[in-house]
Amino acid sequence: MEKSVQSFFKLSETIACSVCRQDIVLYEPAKSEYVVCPSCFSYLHIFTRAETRLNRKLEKPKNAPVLKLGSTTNIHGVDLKVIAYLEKKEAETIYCWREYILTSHDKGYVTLSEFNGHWNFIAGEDFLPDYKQPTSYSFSVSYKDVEYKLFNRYSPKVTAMLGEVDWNVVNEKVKATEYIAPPFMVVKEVINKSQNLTNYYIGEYLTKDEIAAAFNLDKNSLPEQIGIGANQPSKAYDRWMASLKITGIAIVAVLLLHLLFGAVKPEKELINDDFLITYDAKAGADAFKSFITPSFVIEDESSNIEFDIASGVDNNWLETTIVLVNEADNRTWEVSKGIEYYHGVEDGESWSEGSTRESVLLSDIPKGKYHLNVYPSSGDIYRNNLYIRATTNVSMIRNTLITILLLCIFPAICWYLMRNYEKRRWNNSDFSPFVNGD
Amino acid sequence: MDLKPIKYYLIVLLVILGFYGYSGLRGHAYYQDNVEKNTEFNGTSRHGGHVNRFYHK
Repeated sequence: MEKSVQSFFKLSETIACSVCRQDIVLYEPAKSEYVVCPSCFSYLHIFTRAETRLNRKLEKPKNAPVLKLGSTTNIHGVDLKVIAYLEKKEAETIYCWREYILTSHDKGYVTLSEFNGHWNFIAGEDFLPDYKQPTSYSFSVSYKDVEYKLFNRYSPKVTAMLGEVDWNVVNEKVKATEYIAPPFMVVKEVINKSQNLTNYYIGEYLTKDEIAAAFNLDKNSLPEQIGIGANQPSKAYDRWMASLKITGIAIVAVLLLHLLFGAVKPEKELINDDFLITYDAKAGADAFKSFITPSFVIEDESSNIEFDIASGVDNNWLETTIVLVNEADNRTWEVSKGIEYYHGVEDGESWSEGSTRESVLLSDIPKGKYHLNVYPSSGDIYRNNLYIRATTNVSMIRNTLITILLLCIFPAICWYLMRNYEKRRWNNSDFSPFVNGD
Repeated sequence: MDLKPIKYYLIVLLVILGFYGYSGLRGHAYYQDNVEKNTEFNGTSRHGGHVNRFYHK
C-alpha cells in the first residue's frame, strides 16, 4: 500500500499539445481527461495519450500559481498532489479568486481556494470520513447540528487554467451558495439546474502559516491578506466566549463568597434603642440636646458598622451627626444623615417623598471599645425620639454589585469587538444580518 | 474551556476576586458614606451639636 502511494505521487507522463506540439506533463495520467497546455493555453480534451483535441482557447493566467503543479503535501493526514490551477471570477462582478485542485491516492479531489489571501480547504463526501448530508433551509444549512448562515450566492466562471482534471471544469455551469460557521463553510453547488444535481462540500479556513508549512513555502511568498475571510476564525469571538464563561463562573464565585462572609462573620447587633431627644432652645434654632450611647465592643480585627436611624417625622425633617468614638485612643469617625418625610394631597392625588428611615455605613473599623456621640437637630421641636440601630459585619451588597459590574466590563468590551469584527466580515456579503438590525 | 485568549484577563479577574474576598473579610466597603475621621484633632467637625465635644464617657 505504502509503495503504491509513493509510486502514485511520483507518477507523471508527457503528452504533446495538439495545437502547439509542446510537451504537457500529466501528473495523474490514468484519470485526467482535460488538460491545459502551459505554452499556448489551449484547453484540450484527452482521448488517448496520442490524441488530444482542442476544446477552447483560454486566457493566460493573470497570476503565477504559488503552489506548483505536481508539488505534494499532507493535509489532515492525507497525501495530496497539486494537479490543476484555476482562476475563477464571479459572473457579472469583479470578484476573482484562485483554486488549486489536489488529488489523493484513494479519496478523490480536494480544492484549496485562495481569495484575497484567505485560504480554504474544500473537500467533499469522498474525502470526509464523517460526512453527513447537510439539511438545506432558505437562508441556512444545518451540518452536524451546526447552523451555517447564508453568506454568498454566485455563478463561478473559469477564466484561466493550468494542469489537468477528469471533468469538463471549464464549461460546466454551476450555481454556488456558501454558508458559513467559522472556521467552516458549506458550499452547495447546483450543476446544470435542469438536472438538479446538487453537491455539498465542506470548507475549512487555513491560515497562511498552515499553507506555508504544508507546502514548505516561505510565508511571504503567499498572497497578502486583505480584509476578513468569509469563514476566517474570529479571535474576538473566541475571546468573548471564553470571557463569558469565565465571568459567569466568577460571578457565581462572588455570590458564594457573599454567602460565605455571612457565615464566617455573622452580623452582630451593637445598639438597638429608641433614644429620647429634647429640644434645646438655648442652643439655637432646630438644635436638640446631644447624648451619648452605651458602650459596645467590636471584636473583629477590622469590620464595618451600619447605623440605621429612624424617627417618625411628619412633613418635617430630622438630621443627626453620629460620632463613633474609640474609647482607647479617642479616634473618631463622624457621619451626618438626614431624615425627611413629606406628604400631601394635590389636585386630588396624594403624594409623598422621603422616608422616616435611613442608614449609613462605616467601613474598616478596627477592634476596640466604642460609644456614639449623637447630635440631633430637627425642624420639629416637639420631636422626642430617635431610633438608632448599630450593626457590625453587615452584608455589603454594594461591594458585591460593584464587583459583578467590574467583572462584566471585560466581556462587554469583548462582545463589542466581536460584533465589530463580524460586521466587517459580513460587509462582504449581500446577506448581512447587520444591515437591518444595526 | 479554552482560556488561552484571555490569559491576561485571568490575572485581573483573580485580583478582582482577591480584593473582593479581602474586603469582605476586613469589612472594607468599596465606597462608604461621607465620613470624616478624627475631627477632634483637625477641627473639621461638621456636627450641629451645641455642647462641648465629649469623647471619654
